[in-house]
Amino acid sequence: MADPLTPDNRLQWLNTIQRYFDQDLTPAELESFNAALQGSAELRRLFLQYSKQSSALLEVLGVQSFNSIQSLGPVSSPRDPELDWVTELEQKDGPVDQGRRTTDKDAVSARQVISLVGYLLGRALASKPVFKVYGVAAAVLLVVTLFLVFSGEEDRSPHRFADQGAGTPVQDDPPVGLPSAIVATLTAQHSAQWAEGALAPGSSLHPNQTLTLTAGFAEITTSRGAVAIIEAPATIELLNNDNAIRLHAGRLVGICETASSKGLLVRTPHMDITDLSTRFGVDATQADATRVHVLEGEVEVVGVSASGQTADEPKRLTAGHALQGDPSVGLIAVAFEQSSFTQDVEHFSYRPQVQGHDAIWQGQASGDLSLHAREAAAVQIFIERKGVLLKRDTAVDLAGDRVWSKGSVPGKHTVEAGSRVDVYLLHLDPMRKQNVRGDYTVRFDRPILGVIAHQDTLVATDESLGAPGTTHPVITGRHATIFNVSIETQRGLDIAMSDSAAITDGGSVLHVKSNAASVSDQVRVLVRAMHE
Amino acid sequence: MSKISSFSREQTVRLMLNRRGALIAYLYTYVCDLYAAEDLFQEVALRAVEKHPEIPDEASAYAWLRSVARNCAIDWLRRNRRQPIALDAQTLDLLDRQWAQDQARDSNELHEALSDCITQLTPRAQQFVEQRFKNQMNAKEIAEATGLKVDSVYTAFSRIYTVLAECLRAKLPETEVGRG
Repeated sequence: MADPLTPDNRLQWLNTIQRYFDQDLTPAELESFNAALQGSAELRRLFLQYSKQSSALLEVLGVQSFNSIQSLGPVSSPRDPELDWVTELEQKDGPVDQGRRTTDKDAVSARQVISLVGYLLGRALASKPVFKVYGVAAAVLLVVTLFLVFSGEEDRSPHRFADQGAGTPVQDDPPVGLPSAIVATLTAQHSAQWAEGALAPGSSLHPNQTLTLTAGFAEITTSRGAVAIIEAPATIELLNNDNAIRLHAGRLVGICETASSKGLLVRTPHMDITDLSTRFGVDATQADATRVHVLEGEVEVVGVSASGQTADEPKRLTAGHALQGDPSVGLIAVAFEQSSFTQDVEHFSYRPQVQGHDAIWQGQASGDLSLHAREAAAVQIFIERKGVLLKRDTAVDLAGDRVWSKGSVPGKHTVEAGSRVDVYLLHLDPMRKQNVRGDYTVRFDRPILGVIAHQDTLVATDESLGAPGTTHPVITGRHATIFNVSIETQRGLDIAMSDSAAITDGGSVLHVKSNAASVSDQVRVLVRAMHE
Repeated sequence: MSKISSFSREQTVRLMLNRRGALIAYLYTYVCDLYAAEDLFQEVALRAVEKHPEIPDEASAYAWLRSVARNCAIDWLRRNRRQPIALDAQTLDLLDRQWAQDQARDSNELHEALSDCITQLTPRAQQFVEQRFKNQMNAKEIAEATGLKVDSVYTAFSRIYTVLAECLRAKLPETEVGRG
């Protein structure tokens, strides 16, 4: 059985683990999670890693015990039951190891004891809405006493406090902050290759630093919290500004979801774009023009002349609109595109790169088909070819009034040579979600001659029936490679995993149920050509 | 005749210190509440110091501590009338085997590395971490405070954990906290 944890779905599993700890899983999800944990040592390791990281983060950030206690000043009061174990140690053995010098390697370091006592005290304080100052008084004194007693003691522990002077308080690290020269951070990447050499997530980025992404996707977060998703090939440059990026070439999506991140400036060869709220996509792949598409919210755009000067009055652009900056004609409105922009490094959208106008059915009322879907935005219909004459019998996965589902018997179906067909590609895009459940119906005004929904059949017909110029993923086993990015995927329907397709209503209506997790689920439909 | 342990009280305290983070994490997997797990650690520490003569030897001391922690967690769940542990017994056994392989490490070294890694996070990520661990906010509360969807908060934390794990792995190559 394949390990459920793969490099591609690691973040999804981390989300599931978090939801487990937040007790936010449904019973069915919990059952699957249990089964997955049992089946995967790697997932169990990730689960433990998550819990240990959480514990360590809590210890680092949750309380600054010793210094906090010292800062409280003298207090006194009845004992706190939460500190019983400390008191008990004291009662049984005197103040913990007081006066005893650490002489053998197994002995408890005095500072370790102080650290533990201080830590527990700190938690006791931090866990209460009002400090139980009286309750911790005795313990505070104990800690201070222990510290004084042992402050002159040589610590023989080989590693502990190796870089601190004797008597240095346990948690006396100076406050640290981000150096001012850091203007952004590489926060995530997927199959990224950089011309400058390997970069790891967490890498700091500095003013005037230029980076060329030759493959994959990268997420860069500015010091103000704006996120830029970069798609290869692309060259960017960090500016001497904590919320600005120059896009020399390539594609980028700007995401500004917090108040501090608003105002992200993206400079391109042909326009400057300033975020006014949320999301926008920038396409600077062409040498002579740059386009901006506002996905959500609003941006301000200023055209840039060939000499690099701003050439127009700023224009405001709202969601669903696009502008092209062209030095020869200035800013002009162009057709808006949403689906071609990757808005999440880990769950990027694969969009068939269909060349030619009117290739995408945009969802408007149309004479030849209609779509009814639970998540209509996730379903895109591409018109791949029109009036194709089949020169030979073409194998399809489904034809006639039939159902293709987990329990059904697969049949051998063909569309006869000599048929003239229009070819549509139904494309379920998970967009930024981990999973999107596609439950949709497409009604054609002509008979459906055949449906191609298996990955192998799709690949076999890409060349003869797919739109010319389209880049399709290269499938190897369960992996698809597209734009130099390899991901685990099934491109077509996965009937074994409860996807299904059915032709009804005399052969003109197609019902599809599928679940797209990583890239997309696709179905190719051959209908009788409009004009035979 | 009472059993004589070769494991001293001092060794017990030292083990508690060395395994503090791991034991809180272990408790967390049972009670699903990080702050309760931290509070429970105090109870485990008390029981461990009280009952250290029961520890047969150093080799089995960590397993013994985990069994004390597990009993504390189960008692806590009962006291607080929480739902029973959601993971089934087989899963918990498998996880326990993994815990057994967990190597102790110097918590100061780990905390120092982690503090350094936190500063390498973006300001937004640092804000999330602070809200979660300093202000004790859960994902839903952070989502409400930031205007994000809860799923976006989970994804943000998944990335934060990944970045921190990679950073820790670079700083402390042997650490299990950074190993995934």
